[in-house]
Amino acid sequence: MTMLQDEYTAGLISSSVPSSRVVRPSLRDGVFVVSDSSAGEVIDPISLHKYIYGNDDPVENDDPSGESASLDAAALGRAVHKALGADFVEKLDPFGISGPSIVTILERHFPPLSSFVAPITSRFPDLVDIDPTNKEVFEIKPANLKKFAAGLAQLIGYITLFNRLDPKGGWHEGDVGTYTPPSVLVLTDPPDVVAVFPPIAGIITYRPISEEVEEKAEDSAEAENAELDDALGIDTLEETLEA
Amino acid sequence: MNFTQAQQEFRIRHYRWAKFRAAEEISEEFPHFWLFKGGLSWKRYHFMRELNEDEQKLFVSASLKRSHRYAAAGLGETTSAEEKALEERYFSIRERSPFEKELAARRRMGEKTKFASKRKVQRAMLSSFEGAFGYLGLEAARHVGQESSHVPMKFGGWIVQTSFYFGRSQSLIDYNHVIASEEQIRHPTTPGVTGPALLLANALCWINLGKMEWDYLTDTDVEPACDSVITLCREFFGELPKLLGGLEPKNIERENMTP
Repeated sequence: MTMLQDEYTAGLISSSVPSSRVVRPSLRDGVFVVSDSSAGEVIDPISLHKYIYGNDDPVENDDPSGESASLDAAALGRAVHKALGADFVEKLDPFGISGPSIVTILERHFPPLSSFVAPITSRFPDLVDIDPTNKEVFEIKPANLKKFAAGLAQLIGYITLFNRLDPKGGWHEGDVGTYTPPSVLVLTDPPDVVAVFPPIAGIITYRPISEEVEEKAEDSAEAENAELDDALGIDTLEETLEA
Repeated sequence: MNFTQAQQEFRIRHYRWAKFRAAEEISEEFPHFWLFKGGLSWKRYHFMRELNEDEQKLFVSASLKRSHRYAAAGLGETTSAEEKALEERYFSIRERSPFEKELAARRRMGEKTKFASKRKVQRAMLSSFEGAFGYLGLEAARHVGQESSHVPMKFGGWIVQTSFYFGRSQSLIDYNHVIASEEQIRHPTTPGVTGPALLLANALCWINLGKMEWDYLTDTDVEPACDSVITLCREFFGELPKLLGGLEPKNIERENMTP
């Protein structure tokens, strides 16, 4: 858990005590109103996912298993998240959100919630479409099966949480018809070119072009070797020798 | 009038006002945008400043059609090829602001830049809001730690809530309004959770001409940024009587209410 995440986790969402207020003269019938004082507590579905650790911040987190990424990959991940976040916010303006926690998103756009304890404030979905007719959530992950699976578990957790905190529900995984990311991102810090793939079940995946090219070259080389082997009759020879 | 009609009427009024105000912004050379130091707000300002006036009008028109998409569609307005081309040009820009470049250079040299704390920004923003719009004890607002604060007011039978978001890893101010019914509904399965029975509009920010976010705030930036937010809020609140006139919940047919 990072210090930043710890800070968020420590926060409380509070409801206020009723109090009449005076507002500026032009708002003649304006008074401050009272938020709902009823307290509540919800189960945090994300905490149930064994794939997810800490405070589930795909940008800030490191991987306790040590299986993932180096600092370079983390920096690349941050840069991709930032670039896609900006693109999403611009294209879905004003309904595209990137950054705030689920609770802040709901308090800002579907208010008010009641009082909750803090753990759920530390859930930060990557991209959220808060158009009341859409209500879609996207996650951004490196393009590999393990990360995709983790992202999917994360996304299901986020959607469950949104639906448990929004009485009207309707939250679901992001659709390619709502947002199609740019297919290529040119990053400056760190400098890299990244291929981005459209969302599948709400998961947007990416991988550096260098890896993409390398893999395609390997595939191509394997295919060429196979053709060459075939042309030379090596396969037939080997089969004959084995026989 | 049922709720759907009231919602669309509000959208169209907001859109028309936005077009009127945006035209003034162009003629006044975007007085609300110069304070932005980076991010999407700076990018928009920088891009608009590089266009000639005719292109500015086209780009602003495209932006407003995007952000007021339901109103524009309802009025039969579509984005022209010229407008689309300008938007594509804008979306393809990945340039960082001079301040962001300087910041990156400083980081590479191991220098740290001191930004205002989120606590300071939050206190200053709420204090400015209180000063501008009347007495506001902090207990009247709801807070999500230092991440965001939410100030509800009653206006024209609706709850008009102003929310401030102060960022995640760095201090910033992002704000928006939402207009919802005072009437609440309870979550069908989660105890204690409520939400508005009707949501007239969310994601409102002045005239919704792109993202308005004041970031990279140092101690000396906080006050001017708060002043800018207050200016935009004041203008929006001042327009509310026209935007909401006749659309009070009491005038909406209850039997036809759809969320």
